[in-house]
Amino acid sequence: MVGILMTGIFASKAINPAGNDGLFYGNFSFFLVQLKALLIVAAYSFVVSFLIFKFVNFILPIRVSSEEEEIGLDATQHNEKYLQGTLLVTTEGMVAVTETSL
Amino acid sequence: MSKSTLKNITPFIVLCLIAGLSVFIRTVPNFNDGGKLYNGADIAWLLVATALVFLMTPGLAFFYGGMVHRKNVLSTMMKSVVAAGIVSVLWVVVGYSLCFGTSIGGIIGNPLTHLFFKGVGSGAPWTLAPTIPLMLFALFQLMFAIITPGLVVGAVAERIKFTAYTLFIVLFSLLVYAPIAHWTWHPDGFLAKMGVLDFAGGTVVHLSAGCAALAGAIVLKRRKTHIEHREIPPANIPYVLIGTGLLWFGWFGFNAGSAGAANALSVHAFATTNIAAAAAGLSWMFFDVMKNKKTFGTRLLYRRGGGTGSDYACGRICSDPAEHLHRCGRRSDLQYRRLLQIALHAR
Repeated sequence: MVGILMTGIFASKAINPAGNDGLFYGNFSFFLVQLKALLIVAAYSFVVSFLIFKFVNFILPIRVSSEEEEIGLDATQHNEKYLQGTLLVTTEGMVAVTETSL
Repeated sequence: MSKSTLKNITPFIVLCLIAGLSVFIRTVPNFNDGGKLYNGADIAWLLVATALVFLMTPGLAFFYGGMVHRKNVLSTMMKSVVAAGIVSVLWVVVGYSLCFGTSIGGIIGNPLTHLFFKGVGSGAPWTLAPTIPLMLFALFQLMFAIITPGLVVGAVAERIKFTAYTLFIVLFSLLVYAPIAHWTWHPDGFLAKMGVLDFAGGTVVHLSAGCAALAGAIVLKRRKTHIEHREIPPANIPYVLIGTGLLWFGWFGFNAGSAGAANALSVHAFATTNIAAAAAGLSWMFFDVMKNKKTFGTRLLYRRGGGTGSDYACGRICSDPAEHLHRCGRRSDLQYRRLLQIALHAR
């Protein structure tokens, strides 16, 4: 969002002749064009995505159950388990917990 | 082996049907440029850039995967990576045609123009990338289409069903990504005609994914741990660093490749990408300093956000560092919100 407006401000034909000059170079109309595009695209993508999520939610529950969320999605969705280093070393150099149950 | 139900078999049958249908697409010889159009250097650079952009998707998987709770690492990574499969197939079947087929009123590409990549190998180069084969242009664009739904994962992580998410990827690619790409990047698209400039996907990729992410987060609502104010320890911060590294690396292909050639403009985009990413990373670090936080931790990695800003603009803006600092320092768009959703609570 910031990027699209900043293009409207700082764009320069000196860099890309196929482009346009921005507000910074005195071209206000191009800034308005970028602003309009921002509003159109943001509105469209938000509304349609929202409807897609609602639609998916309608044909199958989109969110995992509370228990599944508690157990974790690796186990409930993929039947997998992620393991990482079993030895943790504290700042004092002592070996601490292995495989925390968090 | 457990018994297969109709529901289990359907996706595979659909894939088989698609494969079966593709047999009927006629084979035609590749486009002959007569030794005049193609430029070897441009082709070589775009091939590399395409591979670089692809690498951003696994990078994204590491980026998100490292930040969630350890019990959700694999599922989060899987959701980003699965897009590479789904969107690739979709793209060949109809996606490319919807984005870059003959325009229907500036709204959408005609799905029949390049159905099953028909006429992509044998077609003349794209008007905006005249020195590379059309097929290469189509593949480069494919990588953008892949990473876009992958970006949404962050907002729905740790609570969306895998099946529901894959369905979302299909619908999002066809109903959101394709039209917006067409509006913006097809010369006959209505935004392109208005004169809108989007060099490397700031609108098409990031704005659309950001809005989709917000929509997803609203529909799914907050995660349990968040509601109950429990702390979620991030699974593996080094993963986040790997992901950030891959993203920054891939971004050079993403932005500099969007010049469509190996020329001064692509070098300019390359420089802008690096400067913007660096300045944004420093901005985040200094925000932390201002808040008197000692650890930079995951926040330092948010330099990634700066890359997004540069997508819009890298091909068109003077690479004066001051401008970029200004631009990136004030960064507070949707993507930031989306990252916050994971990261602030993951810390």
